[in-house]
Amino acid sequence: MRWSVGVKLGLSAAVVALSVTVPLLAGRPDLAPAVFSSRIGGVPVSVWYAVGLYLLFPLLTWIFASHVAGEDEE
Amino acid sequence: MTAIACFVVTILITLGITAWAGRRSHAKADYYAAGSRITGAQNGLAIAGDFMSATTVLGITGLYFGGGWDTAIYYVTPVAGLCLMLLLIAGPLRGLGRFTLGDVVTSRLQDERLRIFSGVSTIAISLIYLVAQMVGAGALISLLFGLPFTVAVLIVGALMALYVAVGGMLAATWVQIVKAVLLMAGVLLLALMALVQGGGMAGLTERAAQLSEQGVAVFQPGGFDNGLFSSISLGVGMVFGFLGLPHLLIRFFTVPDAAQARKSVAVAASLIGVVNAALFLVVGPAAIAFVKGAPAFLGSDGAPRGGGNMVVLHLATALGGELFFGVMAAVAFATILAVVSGLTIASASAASHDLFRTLRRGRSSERQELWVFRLGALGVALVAVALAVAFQHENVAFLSALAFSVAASANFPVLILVLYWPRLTTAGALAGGVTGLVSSVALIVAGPAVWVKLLGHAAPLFPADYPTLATAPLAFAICILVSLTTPATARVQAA
Repeated sequence: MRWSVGVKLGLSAAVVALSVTVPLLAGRPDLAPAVFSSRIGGVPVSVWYAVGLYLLFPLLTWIFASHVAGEDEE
Repeated sequence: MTAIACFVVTILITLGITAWAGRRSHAKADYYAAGSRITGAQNGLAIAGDFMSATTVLGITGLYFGGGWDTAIYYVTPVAGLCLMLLLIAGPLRGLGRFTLGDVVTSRLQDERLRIFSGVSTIAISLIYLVAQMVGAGALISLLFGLPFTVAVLIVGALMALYVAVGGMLAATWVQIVKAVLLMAGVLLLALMALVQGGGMAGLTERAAQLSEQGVAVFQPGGFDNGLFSSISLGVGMVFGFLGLPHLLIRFFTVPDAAQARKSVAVAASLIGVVNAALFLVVGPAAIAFVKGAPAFLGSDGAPRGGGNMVVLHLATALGGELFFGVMAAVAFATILAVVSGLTIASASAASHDLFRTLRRGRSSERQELWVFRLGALGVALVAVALAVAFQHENVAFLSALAFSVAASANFPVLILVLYWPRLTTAGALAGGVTGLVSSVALIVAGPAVWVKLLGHAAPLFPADYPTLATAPLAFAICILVSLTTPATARVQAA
């Protein structure tokens, strides 16, 4: 199924919103959830959150690429 | 001696690639776009190599040394930007352009004034980014060889002009591919050694928290203390600026079709994501753990010797001695050479293909255009050297972020509207693009970094270093408003 321009823009807005959580928290550290101070494997959750984003976006990129590639074949 | 040997080997490899590429580059399609013969996987490596610059290796780690968690802004925005690039730009861009951003814009809005605007904005953005790389290179060579900063940047400027003038995009592509592999290997090895010597992640984290002035707060948001407007402006600027960086966008012309262009993006995102994860999770904390509190790496004022941009090299010395320092220094240098090559090609091709050819109204030959390309490379190198000397004490990550800010305000609005809004007119694109370019540069000059720190005034005219949150929406608004009030004859052809 071909994604419409609206769908692509909606997905883009979601990507932007997710990425903006980082500068938002940097500018308003008081908004950081309490769990950020907890640790997993000795590393604060705040660090794992950021690292999770660095790996999530490439994963999304592959997912989007595989879908959009299908549009080339339609 | 080890570091010098590594440097010499690096330069010889890049010169060898340049000579090989020079024998295979004859037409302007070769110099501008490597003949569009690069595969998606190769281009993905090249994009990663083109993007991961002195900022990634030297600048952001230097920022982490003082600011901690907030450097996540610099790490998350490129991978988010690549995601957007795949969704919105990669495929359509490849289908519309041949060599430059000017080709893309004028494919829909057939007015040569837009080509001139694209050329000017490409050169402006590339120059700002180039300055960041040259500052990093100058600091690196000064530290390593004890040369004056100006001499160091002159050497880098000469090399980058040579690579581009002789080997063009084919040389730049393969230098970027080789460098991407070396950089990944270097960063992952650095991370591995830090984990082994630092007692794993828990040990590194604990040691960094003890040595940092912020304590455990170094791993929590708030280290930069920039304020909400500046932070979000920086983040938004970097995400959208990524989609407007000319030296990355022109990489999509080196592959044969849209499918390969998309594959490029996915490969690049994966590589950059892994490197950024390693840098943020391990190398940053390791830099604090091993460099802070080690007098050998600090000056009398407690700051890292050679400045914050040299922290990662001090870390390499701490973990692996002179040999590892030499290897990482060579990797950092290769990184810089690869990126400056791409930036110089973007600028030189804009000067020759967009500006010279347009101003000659089609009366120039391909031979003349290529000569302007080569002279443009030299001219860009000279200007970049002069600006690097002026900004030599700035952090390279900060300087790069300024380039993103201008790209997000000038190129991104025009590009997105060209691709997706049929009602965009020439007048609208010109008005919005020029507004974005002029306003972002003006507010950067009026901000604290230039108006106060460089020009010595008491207070800035604009309170934030990064103006994107103000200038990008302004550019969009102008594009749209002017388009809606422009006669129909100037509107874009239907897709």
